[in-house]
Amino acid sequence: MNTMRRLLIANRGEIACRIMRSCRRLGIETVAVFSAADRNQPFVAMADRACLLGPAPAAESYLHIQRLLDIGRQQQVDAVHPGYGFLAENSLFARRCVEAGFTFVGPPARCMEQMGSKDRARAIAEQAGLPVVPGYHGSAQDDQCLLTEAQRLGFPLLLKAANGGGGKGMRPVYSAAEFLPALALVRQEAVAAFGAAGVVIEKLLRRPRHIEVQIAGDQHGNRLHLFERECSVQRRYQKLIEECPAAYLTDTQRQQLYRDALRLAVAIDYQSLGTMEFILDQETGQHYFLEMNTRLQVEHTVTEQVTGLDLIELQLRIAMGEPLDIRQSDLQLQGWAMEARINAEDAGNNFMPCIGTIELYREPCGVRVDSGVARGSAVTPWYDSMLAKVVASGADRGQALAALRRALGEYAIGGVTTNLPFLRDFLARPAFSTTPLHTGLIDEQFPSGWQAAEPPLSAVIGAAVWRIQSLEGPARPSPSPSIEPSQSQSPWRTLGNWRLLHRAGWPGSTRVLLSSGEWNWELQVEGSGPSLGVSYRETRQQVEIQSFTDQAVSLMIGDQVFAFQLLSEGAHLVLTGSAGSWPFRAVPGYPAVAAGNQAPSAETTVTAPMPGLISALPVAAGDAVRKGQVVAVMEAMKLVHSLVAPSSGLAKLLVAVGDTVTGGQLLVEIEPA
Amino acid sequence: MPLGAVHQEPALPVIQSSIDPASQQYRDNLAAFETLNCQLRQRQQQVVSGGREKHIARHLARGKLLVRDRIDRLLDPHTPFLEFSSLAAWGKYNNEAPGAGIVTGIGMVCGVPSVVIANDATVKGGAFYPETIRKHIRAQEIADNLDLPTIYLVDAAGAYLPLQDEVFPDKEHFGHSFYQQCNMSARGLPQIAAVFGGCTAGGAYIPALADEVVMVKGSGQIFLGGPPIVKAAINEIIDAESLGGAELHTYQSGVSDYLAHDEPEALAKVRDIMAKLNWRRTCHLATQPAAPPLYDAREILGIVAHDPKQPYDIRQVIARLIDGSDFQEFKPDYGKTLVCGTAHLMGYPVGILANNGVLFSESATKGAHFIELCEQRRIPLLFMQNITGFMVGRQAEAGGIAKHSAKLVYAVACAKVPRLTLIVGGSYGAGNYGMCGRGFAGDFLFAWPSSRIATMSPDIAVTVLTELRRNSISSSADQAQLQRLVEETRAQFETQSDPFYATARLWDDGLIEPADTRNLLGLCLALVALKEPAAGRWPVFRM
Repeated sequence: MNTMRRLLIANRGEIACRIMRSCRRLGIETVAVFSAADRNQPFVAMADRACLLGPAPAAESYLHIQRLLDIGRQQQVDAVHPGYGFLAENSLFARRCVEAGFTFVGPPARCMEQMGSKDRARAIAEQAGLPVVPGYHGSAQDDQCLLTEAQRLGFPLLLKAANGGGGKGMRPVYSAAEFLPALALVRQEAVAAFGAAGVVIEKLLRRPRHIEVQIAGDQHGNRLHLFERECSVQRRYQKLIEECPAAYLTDTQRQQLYRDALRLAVAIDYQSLGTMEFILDQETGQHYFLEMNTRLQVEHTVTEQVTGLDLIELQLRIAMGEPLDIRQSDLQLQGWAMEARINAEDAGNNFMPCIGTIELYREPCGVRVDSGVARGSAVTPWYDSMLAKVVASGADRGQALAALRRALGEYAIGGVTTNLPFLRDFLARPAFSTTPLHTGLIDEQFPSGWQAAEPPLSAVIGAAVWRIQSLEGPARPSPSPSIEPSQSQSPWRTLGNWRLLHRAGWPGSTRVLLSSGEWNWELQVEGSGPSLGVSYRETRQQVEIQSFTDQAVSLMIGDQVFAFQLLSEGAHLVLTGSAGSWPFRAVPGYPAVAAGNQAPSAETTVTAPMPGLISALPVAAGDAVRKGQVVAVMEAMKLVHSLVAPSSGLAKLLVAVGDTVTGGQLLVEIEPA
Repeated sequence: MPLGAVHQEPALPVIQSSIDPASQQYRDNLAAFETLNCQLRQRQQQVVSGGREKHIARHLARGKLLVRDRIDRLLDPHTPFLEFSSLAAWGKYNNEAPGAGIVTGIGMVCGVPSVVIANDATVKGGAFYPETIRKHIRAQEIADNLDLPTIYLVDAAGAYLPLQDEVFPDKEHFGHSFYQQCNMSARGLPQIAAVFGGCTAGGAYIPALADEVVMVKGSGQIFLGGPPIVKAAINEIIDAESLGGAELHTYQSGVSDYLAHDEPEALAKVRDIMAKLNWRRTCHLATQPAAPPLYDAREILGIVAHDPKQPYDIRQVIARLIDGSDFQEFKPDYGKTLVCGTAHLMGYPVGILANNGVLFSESATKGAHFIELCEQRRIPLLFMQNITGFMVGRQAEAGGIAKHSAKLVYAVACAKVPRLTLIVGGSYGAGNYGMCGRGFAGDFLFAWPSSRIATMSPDIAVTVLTELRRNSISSSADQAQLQRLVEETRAQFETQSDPFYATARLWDDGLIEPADTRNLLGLCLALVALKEPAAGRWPVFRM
């Protein structure tokens, strides 16, 4: 049996942190590797040792096998954990690790190879007796043959590029009449995206569910299933919300899923943690094998929550050659766990990834948060956009959901757009809590895409009050340079908008500019102290500040009381109330205007800046010239001056090469074309 | 010290409130003062917007900002503005020049307290009336005295020609503002101008003499002679924008340094300039955390007697202005008609001299002694005037009141510490001198609407003048003539000692309500705290 004293973690972010937490408990030293873009990420600081791996692109860092092995040798590690993503399912990496003498924390390379190709995995699974989605995967690809196969399978069908993935080159076909035109399109897309025209045909499952089974196998022939997870809630073919166990499954269905998962594990003599993914046809209740992930999953957390196991520890022990010391009968599901992935992405813009710097960060309490970021972390375009996972538990699904919703309401991230508003909105929908899930649920709920709701005016006023208060008094962020540097209590800082004529029609007003996502507000805040007049567009509200601290504000707007939690840093604020949570940014009220004066826009003449000699005229009379193009060259005071067209048009030359000109003399006129 | 004994902090010398808000006197005073405050607010309201709605609408229609909106945008967000003499020219020129068409004051611009001088083009096109130039020059004087930068927001038609003789020629007229501008710049005090409208002839020199100039395209114009003069003088026909617009002056003449496309941009450019002044001043006072007074400032209205003949204890007013009502009274048992003592106001130390009756020799010498103490300790002085004058009569004269009161005047005149004056009641005769009246060039002078300022009260004036008339050797007066004299004298003194009459003529820096006084004095003290203290030359003389 191998011992493990020092582990290299060939990954980054939250999973690196997660692995380190288990290692710390087990007394295993950790070596983190990081790319130049990740220098300041929390996982680097958290590791016992950390080595720079290479530049930001993954191919030169987290995917660079040789460098990883070099660092492993140099740091004298015993083992390598690949995390998930990057090299986690790369059999070459697994082999090279073993060859280099490291324990690879994962399955044997051969298992990865067996399950790595979809076709091969499907064939092995079929052979092991697992149901697979009925379809045609043959090599005969002529139109007639494919149409015959389609008719044999029956509509509706899914046409897919044989080498495809990620949703590209995929098209549903609902009738025989649509088949051939759809085939042409899919072939086109397949060639464009994957370089090959081959297609496969599969039975189209309506409202399918994505259910997976976590399994564990050791090097001594022991195998366990660790129950199922439901990962049906997906966007852009990626999981967003996962839970354990899955709702709306019969015991029979569960047992069939476990049995099939273990059957495949036996068939390939699987030795590590792994996940068999299935899709479940809601109409028939039939499940089909989809693929196997030969690694730890992002969503392993929900399994941990309901089994009480540390899956990283289990993975490490298996890799060290220890036999599984738990029996299937020891395992019991306890309660319910639900995970939401917090991604830096714009849910209002088809979940496009977002980048930026996390200016504000506060994790919720009372739930498990696996995160890899902190305040000040940069979210770069180089890697996955997932920032953290919130994992809530409860005695049943309702409790877990309630805890998750509460936690997401309290999670504050400012500076980077995240999917938090989307998750809060989505999880509040009855469709999520009262009916079986399916992979098309998000599209079904938001047929024309999700749109964030505009923050209510009360929240905007709350943000404006925060802004005003941060300008007033000792908490003022940028101390005024000249009034008593030592005295933060100067009335020049504490009196707000005070005016001598405040009772006579000049209350004094401050423009407050705020933005949140796509929204911008310009408010006028009048007065000072606890009583303010806040105007936005045509409405003016009287606002009484009942209390204000760095963390919370309570306001009376009209006759209603609003209480908000505040988290702020500089110009960034996350404001949380009972109706929601919104990030705000205070926009400087007086933007610095770019230095320098722009030339008049209608300028059409080129004049000599000083007396000199025309040495060249690069354009001919009547030539069309662009704004900024050199139209004359002068020599004066031993220097060459290139004179450019101030606007676009036709050049009219008023001088010739060799002419001596005076300062200010008109040289070229630009006439409108 | 025995075990368990605790060191006792001395009790703070806190002024105990002695008012009875239920008393008839209190309620009468309150009602009378509230009437005064209402009158003040109504008149200030007129200054802000009254009576010229058409001009304001036309100004806004041109895409221009109102003068006070310009100031709001210029200042650091959510910071105060200390406005001067808002009622200048009140009651003059049929009230056609509210505020004299100019707003002046001090505000923070990029953390730098700056004097702002801003024309109000909705008032006669921003033309300069006699009070306009006085207000302009007084603001410059304050900037000069406190070493502050000055920002000119220019939107003025030039001198009001019907009154050109009261605006142009004299020492304190138009020319003096340019003299001030040049010399302040020479002293290192930045002079920044933004041009929002026409600056013709003399007006052209406000930007032309500024250190840096921003001009608004399309509305800012600078020329020594406008199109009509140009046509008359050299028969050149030209429009104003071509003659002196922002583009000409920014791209060709170099009279302007920055072109702004609109007014907000011009104000932002002024802020950009101010942000990089390399400006730092230190506070020279030992401050402590501010604490509110123990009693409500609104009660002052019920304390101050509406009948000037009724005495009241000025300590009850002081208690409602200073931090924690904590007043270290000097010589409380000597010269009791002048209350002297040290306190903090919004955290700043201040030495207060407040009248509590007619000044006797003892009160005068006590005041002089106290000024010496503050001078030695570099504590700014606050004079609270409610004074009918110095004591008269044989006993007083024999006691040398002329020379003793002179000691107070000497001390007031020569004190190098900052001096603030607040007229709460009467400011009559020599008492005005001894309590740092306008002639003594204090740093700031404000008055309550309850104040009266004159050589003497109307009653005394009537007595004095009728007596003189009776004794006149040139002609004997009949009863009717004497009665007319009584009426004329009383009317003259009552009109001229009215606080609005005074503030209209810039005998003060503005009328304020008691409830605003603490904020105002705090802002003033924070500014004078930046003044470099002068070294003292004499020990403290006991008097």
